[in-house]
Amino acid sequence: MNRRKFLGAMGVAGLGVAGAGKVLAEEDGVTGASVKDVKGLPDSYAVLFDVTRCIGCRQCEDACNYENRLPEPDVDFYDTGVFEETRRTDWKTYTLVNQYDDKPPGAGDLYRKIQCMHCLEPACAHSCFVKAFAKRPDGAVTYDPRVCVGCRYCMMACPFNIPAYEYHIALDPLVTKCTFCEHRLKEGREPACVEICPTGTMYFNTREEVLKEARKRIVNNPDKYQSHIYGEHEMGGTNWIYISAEPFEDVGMRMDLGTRAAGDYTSGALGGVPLIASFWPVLLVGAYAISKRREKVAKEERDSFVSQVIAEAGPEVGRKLAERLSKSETLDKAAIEEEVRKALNEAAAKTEREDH
Amino acid sequence: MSNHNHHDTGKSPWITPFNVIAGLIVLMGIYLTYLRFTGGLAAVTNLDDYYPWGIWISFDLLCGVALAAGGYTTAAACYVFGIKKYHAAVRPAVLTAFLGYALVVFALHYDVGQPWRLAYPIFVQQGTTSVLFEVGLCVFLYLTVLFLEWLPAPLEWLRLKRVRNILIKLTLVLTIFGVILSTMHQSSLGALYLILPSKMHPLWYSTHLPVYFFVSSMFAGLSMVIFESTLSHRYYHNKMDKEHLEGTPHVTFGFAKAAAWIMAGYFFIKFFGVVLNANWGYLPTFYGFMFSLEMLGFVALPAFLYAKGVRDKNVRLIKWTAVVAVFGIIFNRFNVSLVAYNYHLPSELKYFPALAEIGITIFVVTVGLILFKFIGTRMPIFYEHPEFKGSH
Amino acid sequence: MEFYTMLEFDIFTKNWAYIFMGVAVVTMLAWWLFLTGRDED
Ligand code: SF4
Ligand code: SF4
Ligand code: SF4
Repeated sequence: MNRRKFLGAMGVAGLGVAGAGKVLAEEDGVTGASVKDVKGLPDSYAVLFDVTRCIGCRQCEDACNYENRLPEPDVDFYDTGVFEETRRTDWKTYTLVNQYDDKPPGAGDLYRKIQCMHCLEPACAHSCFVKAFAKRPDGAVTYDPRVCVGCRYCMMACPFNIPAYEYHIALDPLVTKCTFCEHRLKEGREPACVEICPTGTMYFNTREEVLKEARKRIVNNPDKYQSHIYGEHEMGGTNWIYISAEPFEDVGMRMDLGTRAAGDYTSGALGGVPLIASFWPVLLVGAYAISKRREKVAKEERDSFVSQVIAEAGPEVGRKLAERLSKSETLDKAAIEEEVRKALNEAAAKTEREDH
Repeated sequence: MSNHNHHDTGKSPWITPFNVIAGLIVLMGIYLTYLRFTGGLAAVTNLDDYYPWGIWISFDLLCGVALAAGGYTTAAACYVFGIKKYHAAVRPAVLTAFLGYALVVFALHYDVGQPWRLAYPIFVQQGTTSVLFEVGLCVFLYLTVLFLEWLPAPLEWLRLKRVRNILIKLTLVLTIFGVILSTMHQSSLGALYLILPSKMHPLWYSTHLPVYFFVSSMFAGLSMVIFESTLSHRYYHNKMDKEHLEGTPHVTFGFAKAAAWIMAGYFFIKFFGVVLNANWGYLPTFYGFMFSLEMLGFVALPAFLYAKGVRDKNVRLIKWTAVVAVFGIIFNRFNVSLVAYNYHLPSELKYFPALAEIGITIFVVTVGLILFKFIGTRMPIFYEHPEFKGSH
Repeated sequence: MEFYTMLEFDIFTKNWAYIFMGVAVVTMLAWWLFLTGRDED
């Protein structure tokens, strides 16, 4: 079983090396020269969502629905009954507001809007095998329905559970998610939800300005706000930024996502792939050459035994021995000697018999 | 699929238990196919926005590919490592692998939303940053390699000597290319889950997931070859030639030994996953129970039983152990893709496959059995074609 | 080279990696044939 063991060991060794490729893609610390050149999008837009200001009126949901020509909602946008459940995005909802306290539905004071975070390093884009998603210079993460195969790996990958799928459509279902109203950004206008909000919950500007504003609010009201800007670094940073009075977990936002971009988690494994492609042939052909060589040595050994036997007991016995040896295919010297001994004994017995 | 008696000698009547059951399943499959492509995924699956991947990925893709690993392990053992005793096992293993991969691709046509775009990642727009791209490309290439490795069988059947001889010359190159591609995509199936650390239970999430998947694919393939040879001997015994019959015990004992040895290594690398991430605290939970069951019941136990079977020369024990080991691989892939995935979601949001979803999976497996049966009874799989004997 | 995002960087590097992987495999094969071209057997 040496060969198996060998293969197993190679597997572990090879993929262990694969992990080393990861160093190249480290976010900060900047280990690879080329990584130094990643400078971030200079003037991308961002939105600051201030959880303390949202009153759960759901006008943003309505505006989004209208702006993006989405289908009629199941429940009217002015029905507060929806707050009984914690909802998520789906194929006809790019954005929605949930209530996060235990007051009666609609009577609470803790609401948060959900939509695509427009990550700086989007997991959806990194995971899509047809590059259907793109990160635009304006900050929007956009989707190209013309190439989407519908594998739904983007939905698996998104740490914020944003992309949804048209499961009910038979032939050409698509992934759906907030577009950041990219068509409006292009005209220099803010997204529809931002525009309509009656309480100014959302502040739209460049990401740099948005972060400044967030810091300002926290510094000016240190007792009111959590001292954390959600989205500044989460999963490598996002273009939608949140500040809140309540702990973020209490408004359904995970604090354990870490700051590494999603793509960072796979670059190690992907970096190993070329290593396998280029070094596996070395190991495999090496193993092949070794086995070939052993075969050759064994064959030479066998041949020399055979000729020895031929010399001692004649060609007939030699031929028989050769046949037996090739059949047993043994590489073991002791076994070969055993066969030779047998053949010689047989021959001896035969001559004896003939003598009688 | 329990009791399909096979009649090869003489006239084979159409009405056999196998044909009847397989026929019914195929009818069901056609009906479900109709539902799937008229009503969408929602009509036949319980998939939702939290669970974009269900059992068609867990079983048909992850288990399908792992269990088809017998193709590369057997071919590598015979042609690369020069263990000629395994020669007779190569053809059945390659056939199983080829059908396995073909069915994986077939099943994906049900799973993806727009199956006619399935080749887009290769021919239209390449998402090279995606692990799934790597999987897709390798599966595509490896399916081609397996097809070429399998092709000599139908060519001998059709007596197309010249093409067949060219292919035979390529055996070594194809085998090595096959091992490279297998290493890549077997491990990448595990790497698919690397990008979603926040959704995976820490007991199964590890930067070494690709290593786990690759190493376990090795003994999955070996166990599957043992298991599959048990079935073949039951139904194709009269087809097998001397080389095949004499080679089988070598394969059974050799593969069992190899599997036991690899499983021991696998047990420890998984164990170090717990050590390195200090996951001890999770062990006395439900997830810890599932993890321990997987490691003790479906890795350590079959490894020990294989070892015992090898020491006692107990073929029966080895054959049953192969069943346990195969089941263990399925258990592991389900644990990763459905138990560990979304572990933090409340139970009412969790996924359980719909009957129709399971139905399509059964249909796909049945199609595989029918094809295997068709090919196994007609083409030189379990014996060497008399006109081509020894020419490889 | 200048990249605005890691994503761009990854796309660039991985594209070339895949192309050169194909080149590497073919080269290795040719190299082996060259290396063993004058072997006696
Ligand atoms: S939140 Fe999800 S869908 Fe939106 S950009 Fe980030 S990864 Fe993509
Ligand atoms: S579902 Fe579409 S957009 Fe999402 S990863 Fe697959 S191909 Fe890309
Ligand atoms: S429109 Fe503004 S206040 Fe109303 S729910 Fe949306 S974010 Fe909150």
